[in-house]
Amino acid sequence: MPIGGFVVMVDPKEQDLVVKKLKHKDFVEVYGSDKKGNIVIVIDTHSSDEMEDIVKEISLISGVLSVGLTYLHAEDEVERIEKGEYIPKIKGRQRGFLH
Amino acid sequence: MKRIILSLVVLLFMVSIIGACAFRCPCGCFRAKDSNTNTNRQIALNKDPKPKTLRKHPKLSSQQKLIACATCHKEVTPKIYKQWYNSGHGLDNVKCFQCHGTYENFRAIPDPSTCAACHAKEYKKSVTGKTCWQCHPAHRFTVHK
Amino acid sequence: MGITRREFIKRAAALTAASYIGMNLPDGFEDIAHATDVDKWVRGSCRFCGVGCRVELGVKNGRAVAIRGVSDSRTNMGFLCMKGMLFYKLMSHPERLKKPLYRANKNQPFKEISWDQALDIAAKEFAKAVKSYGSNSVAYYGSGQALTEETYIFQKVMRAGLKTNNVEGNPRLCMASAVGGYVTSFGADEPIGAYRDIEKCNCFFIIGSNMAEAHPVLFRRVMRRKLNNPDTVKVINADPRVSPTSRIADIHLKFEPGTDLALLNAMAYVILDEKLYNEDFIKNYATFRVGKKVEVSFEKYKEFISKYSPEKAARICGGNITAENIRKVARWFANSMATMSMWTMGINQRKRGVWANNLIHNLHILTGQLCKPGADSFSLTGQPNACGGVREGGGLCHILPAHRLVKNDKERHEVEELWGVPKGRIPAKPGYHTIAMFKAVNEGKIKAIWINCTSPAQSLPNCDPYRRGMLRDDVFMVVTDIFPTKTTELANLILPTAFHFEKTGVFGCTERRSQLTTKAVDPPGEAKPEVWIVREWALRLAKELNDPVIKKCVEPFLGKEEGYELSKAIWEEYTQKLTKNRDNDLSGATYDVLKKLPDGVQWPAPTKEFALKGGTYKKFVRGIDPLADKYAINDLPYQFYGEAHQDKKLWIWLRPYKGPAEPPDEQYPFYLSTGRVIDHWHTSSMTGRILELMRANPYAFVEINPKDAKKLGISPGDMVLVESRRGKNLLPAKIYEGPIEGMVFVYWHDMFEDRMINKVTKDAYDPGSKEPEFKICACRIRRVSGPKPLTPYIVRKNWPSDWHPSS
Repeated sequence: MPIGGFVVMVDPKEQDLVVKKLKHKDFVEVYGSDKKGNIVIVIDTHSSDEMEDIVKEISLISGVLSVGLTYLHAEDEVERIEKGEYIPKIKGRQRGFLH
Repeated sequence: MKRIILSLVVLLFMVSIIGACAFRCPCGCFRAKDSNTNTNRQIALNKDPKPKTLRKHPKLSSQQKLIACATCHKEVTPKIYKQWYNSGHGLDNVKCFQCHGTYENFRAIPDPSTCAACHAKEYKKSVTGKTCWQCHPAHRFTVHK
Repeated sequence: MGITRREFIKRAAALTAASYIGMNLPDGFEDIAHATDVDKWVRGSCRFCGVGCRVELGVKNGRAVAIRGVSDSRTNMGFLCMKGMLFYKLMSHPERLKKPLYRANKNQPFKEISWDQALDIAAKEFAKAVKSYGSNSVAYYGSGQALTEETYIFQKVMRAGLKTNNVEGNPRLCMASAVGGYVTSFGADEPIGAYRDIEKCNCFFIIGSNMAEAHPVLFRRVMRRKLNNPDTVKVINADPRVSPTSRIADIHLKFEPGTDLALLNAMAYVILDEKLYNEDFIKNYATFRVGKKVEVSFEKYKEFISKYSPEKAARICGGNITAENIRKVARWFANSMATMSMWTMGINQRKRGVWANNLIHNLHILTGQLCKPGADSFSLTGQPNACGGVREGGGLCHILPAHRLVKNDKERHEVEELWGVPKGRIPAKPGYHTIAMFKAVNEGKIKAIWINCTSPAQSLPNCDPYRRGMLRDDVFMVVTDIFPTKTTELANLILPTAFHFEKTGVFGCTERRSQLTTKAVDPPGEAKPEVWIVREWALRLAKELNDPVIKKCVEPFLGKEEGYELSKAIWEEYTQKLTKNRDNDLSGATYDVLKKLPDGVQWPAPTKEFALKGGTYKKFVRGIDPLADKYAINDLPYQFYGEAHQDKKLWIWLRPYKGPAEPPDEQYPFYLSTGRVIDHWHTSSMTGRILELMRANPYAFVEINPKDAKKLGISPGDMVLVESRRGKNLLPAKIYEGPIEGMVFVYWHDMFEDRMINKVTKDAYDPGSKEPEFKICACRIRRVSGPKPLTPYIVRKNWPSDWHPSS
């Protein structure tokens, strides 16, 4: 279950609204924000796939300029993959490499 | 072939970013099928090796959220309800949300420092790295049984 | 430190992210009481009930972020109930009143005004009323939640300043009968013993109280005592309703509401009949009284009691009361090593509340279950400062500070002298009591009223006529509070006040213990402490009425800083001047002394040395109570020096059985009783705004006995109309083997119009104490429909989605 620390950069004018929306998002915890439009969040999900989905959703919120990963802890997920409990879906361009 | 190489690359990438952490995870809910079960985790899970402890409460309508926790949990988690009801907490009306929060700040496994609100003395003296319920099993919270 | 691994990793993640952009993480960890995350812990009392739990508020960056109990406190021993645990979240609630609001007429909307304007208006309106209609046309209605300093300064300005004894408080609605009972039975107000007796008690007689929900942290001590000694400690629970308190009872006595006077007299019968009384104790310490204090003999009392055989009482009481049960309970009571009775509203809020109190005291006097460790006749107080502020501070129409009586000329002049005001300044007659006060408002006799820290629009019995009265445009209403309430809706002027921990002051709890809460954070917006408001108002009143005596009332407090120094100066005057040499002597309990203790000081505490030890654990006992030694009239170990009894004895009262004011009849065949639940407190203006508590109990329901429900075809959740001669409520049904058959129970915390049960209750009151009978009236119930979705009263726009519990 990966844990990721992110900095969400937002347009300062819409900051309050974005903070509110983030606070009510599942799996997202808001740890703080400053006056320059930076919001520190931690995303804690079951899988990296889910985390990716959430990052995508956040980047689509009006006012959000970027979502940057600064810290990722994925030890649990790696163990699960090693044991064969979880097979991550490989997305995107990788699909082109299917035989 | 290339697919396997790529997945290995992704794996390596993830492994290389792992933060150092010396603690043993006392909360076994994320290691359901881990064969390396130890007694601590057993206690934390109320001796149930296959817990279905959800980290976020299932979504409810705002009308449903106005039903007191115990009213539903009497039916949904009867064993836990009974343990709580017959414990010191149950007798003295220490209710679910006091440890677990309400929906917006819900914690399925509370932070032990929440216990400090009433048990400040014990919390200060507690063993570092252990949670309260490793020795005082939830939800009976009897002493060392 | 006990942090989970997961939490640690998450913090590491957050800190890393923050460091990337050079941000210092603020208080994002608010809902967790981490010791290291707090700048300071400030000690004080809990804001809610009369137990007086001691807490420490965790402050970070000038905001309250955590709370924990004080382990060394002799009241709560570190424990908190859910309300104490969460109340700090109210401090930054967005609905806090932050600016004075005013409207000249009550059909206009409120406008924000400045403090200068607000205080001028308040002074002008009260001055106008006094000049045009005399001093009797102004009134103050205060609260057992106001700090002692606040009640003291308010009543000083009203009595010596505006020359009126129209000073009342909401303890008239809850504790007046207990006061009457103590004064008439023991000669002085407030319990003899303390919480400490619980750990030595062998027999608990809990009557008319649901301690488990109303005094949970004190109940914990009783519960623990019982669980540790399951066979030797007996618990008797007497209540028409089975409640969570009954869980620890060895026997639950269920009787029809209002019949408990017969039950108590019958217990006395058994005690006399089976010679279980303590002959020496009665000979040394007691006499018998009837009517207006006429003394009679023990033989006369025995004759009187012979009419209350257990068989007769069982017939009157109904329920599960049998003669055998009465005998069993009486034997337990009399024979145990130490017996403690505890009661609250079931006994006090009654037409014959004083008599009910007397009858409980009688049992203790007859059996000598007083003054020894573990034994006491212990009335539980509902509000945090009904004792300290109102009963002791002079907050009722007929009393003056430190248990003095208005109509006692000597005592009244003594107060005038201590205050440095001319003799004759304080009127010689008591003012209006609460129900009379609001009736006077209805009749246009009161032109200006100041309501402080309470919501009579919801808490008065039969509240609708009084609400209509308060809405009159010829009644100028000032309301001081922290949140909008049903009463601020009827005001002309709303003044925002500082909340607990945003100001400094003393609360005196149930066990005579005065405890200090110091300011920890600033109040929001322009909210001000009440003591500042009164001082500034008094100065302007002095100008408006051209009366320098009003200024004299607040002169010792001029120039003092409002968050701490002002309260300290008021406390000094009250304790050093007014309580000195009185039975509630608190002159040893200075702020410095109070701050040194984890909890507080039990009076009498005439010296600092004595106060530092905690004060007097048990009154009237030589060697423990310094006044017992001081006022001893003989060699006996117990000295009952209470002022009200000239003979310095305890009085056993001959009180006949009297039922309630409005028992059920053909038209209204059910008893209606009202009460409380653990999740809410009082009018829920505070607890309703704490998300966790609101969800735990979002709306009032009507508890119906399953047999009655079956007869009337009512299923759980059905909407039921509860109607009396005065009003009606529409409530969801809760079918529960709680109330006795023929009785329904509704809690009164809800503010929603259809669920305000005081629209249905009756304002009959005890002729002695003037306390209303909230607990019993006649009603009828009928199913109206199936379950309907309901909305809690406190609904903000988009609630709860735009308010986060940790914000």
